[in-house]
Amino acid sequence: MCVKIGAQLTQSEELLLRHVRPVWLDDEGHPSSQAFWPFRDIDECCLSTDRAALTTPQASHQLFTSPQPAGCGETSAGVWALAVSEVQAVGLTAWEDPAPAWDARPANPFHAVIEFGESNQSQQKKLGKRLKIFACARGKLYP
Amino acid sequence: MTEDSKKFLTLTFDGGRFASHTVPIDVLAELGTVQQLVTRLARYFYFERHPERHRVPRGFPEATRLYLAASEPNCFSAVLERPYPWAWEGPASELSVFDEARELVIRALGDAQAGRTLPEGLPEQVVDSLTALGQRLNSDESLLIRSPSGDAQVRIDQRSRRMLARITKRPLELEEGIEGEVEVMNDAARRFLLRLPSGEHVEIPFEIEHRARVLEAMQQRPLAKLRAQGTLLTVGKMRMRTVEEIEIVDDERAPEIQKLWTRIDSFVQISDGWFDGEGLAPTERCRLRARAILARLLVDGRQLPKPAVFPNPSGGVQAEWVLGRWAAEVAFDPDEDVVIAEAIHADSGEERAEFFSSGQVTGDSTLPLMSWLEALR
Repeated sequence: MCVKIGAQLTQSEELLLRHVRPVWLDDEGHPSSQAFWPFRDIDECCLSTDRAALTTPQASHQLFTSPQPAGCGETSAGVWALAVSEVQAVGLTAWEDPAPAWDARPANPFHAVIEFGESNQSQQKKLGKRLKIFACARGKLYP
Repeated sequence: MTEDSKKFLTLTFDGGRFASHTVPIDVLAELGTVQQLVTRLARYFYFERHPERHRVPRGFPEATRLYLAASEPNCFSAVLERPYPWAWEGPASELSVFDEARELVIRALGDAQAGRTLPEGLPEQVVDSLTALGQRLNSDESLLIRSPSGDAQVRIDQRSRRMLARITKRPLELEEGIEGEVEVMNDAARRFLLRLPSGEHVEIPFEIEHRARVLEAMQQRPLAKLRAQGTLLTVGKMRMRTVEEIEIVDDERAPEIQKLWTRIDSFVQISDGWFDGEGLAPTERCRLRARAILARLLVDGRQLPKPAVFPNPSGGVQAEWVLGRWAAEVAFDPDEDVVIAEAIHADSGEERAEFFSSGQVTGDSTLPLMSWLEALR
């Protein structure tokens, strides 16, 4: 389980911004459920997001994709979002988790995580599918 | 020609394609069959009366020619005339063989419709022509043959042709265009097997110049279909006796299937560690299975949207659909022979899962999987 350094998010209408890597987007702009659950070992059962209450989809995208050290130097095909209420609806919790600068990456004070807890990979995958439906219903926010 | 000729037969094409008062050009070949039939019968009558002769008299072939004199736009009627002979050497009374031929055609067809046998002694060639008449008609069309007086007439359709085929113990022949998928190609025998949408198979011969098309249709199925126009024999095992045209036709979902294939084919570029150092490259077996089964799924499930397809970190391929509030996925796993289908409802969390064996879901049929997905809609 990941180590969080903030409080649980409880404002149900708050949106959590999620970057979808190009590999998880098909040619017609449909994201994969794979983008909505923490399947990598390094994820430690937590899905990274940014808090829309503190940043915008555009600013989040810029920070995520700009070359280091100004940005994280990652790739993103676009920004989707999940409401805290949707995260709660599937039985998960969201936490503020501001990230300090490390190595060549800048700090990200808007960072938050969705914690998938102790559930196994199969259960996490199912939760990812449910979250995808919510995110797809809202549509891509940026670009 | 009108002054020197007389009305011989009226043919009225009715129903189907003729409702708009036009007639497809290829259907006009029925007029040629009528002429062939009258010629063969007249020749038969002539030699029956003159057993001592081995040749027809000069002018006989010309006298058997029929001419399209007029067409009437009710449905589509063709008035056929037979001109008086230019070089007829025999007595004029013998010209009655043509009228007798006409009357016998109408009577024989009428008898066959009523389930009665044909007059005895009819030459095989005449019976061939009789059974060939109407082979270009569709099932909702008919051809009415009338004598000039209107006293004698007979209507030919596919039902009456089936009766005639049964009585004459001949295969029912249809001049038809059929469309399907090339399943098997036999180069040595120059034949291929076409699977129709109904699931029936038709064996079709092909010429060397059509080989490339047949091969392409087989390799590109189900995206590509093949349309063959020719004479279809429908008794017992269906086969085409002769083929006039062979054409490759796109399936109506061809653009979607092509996009799907292009997407899956692009996974060949992926190597192990493709996602932040994690993730196995999709195996060739998974890619090929996904390619074949998902394409077939789009053809079997016409209402099913095209899925979004992704590489799976375990070395497989997964197809995803959003069907209303259901998230559905079909996975092609490198370690499994089965196709794994799973769905979950976003709001209620209700889950559904099914495993389809390699025998249940193939590149030729995905009906159980298609039904499973359709039930989510």
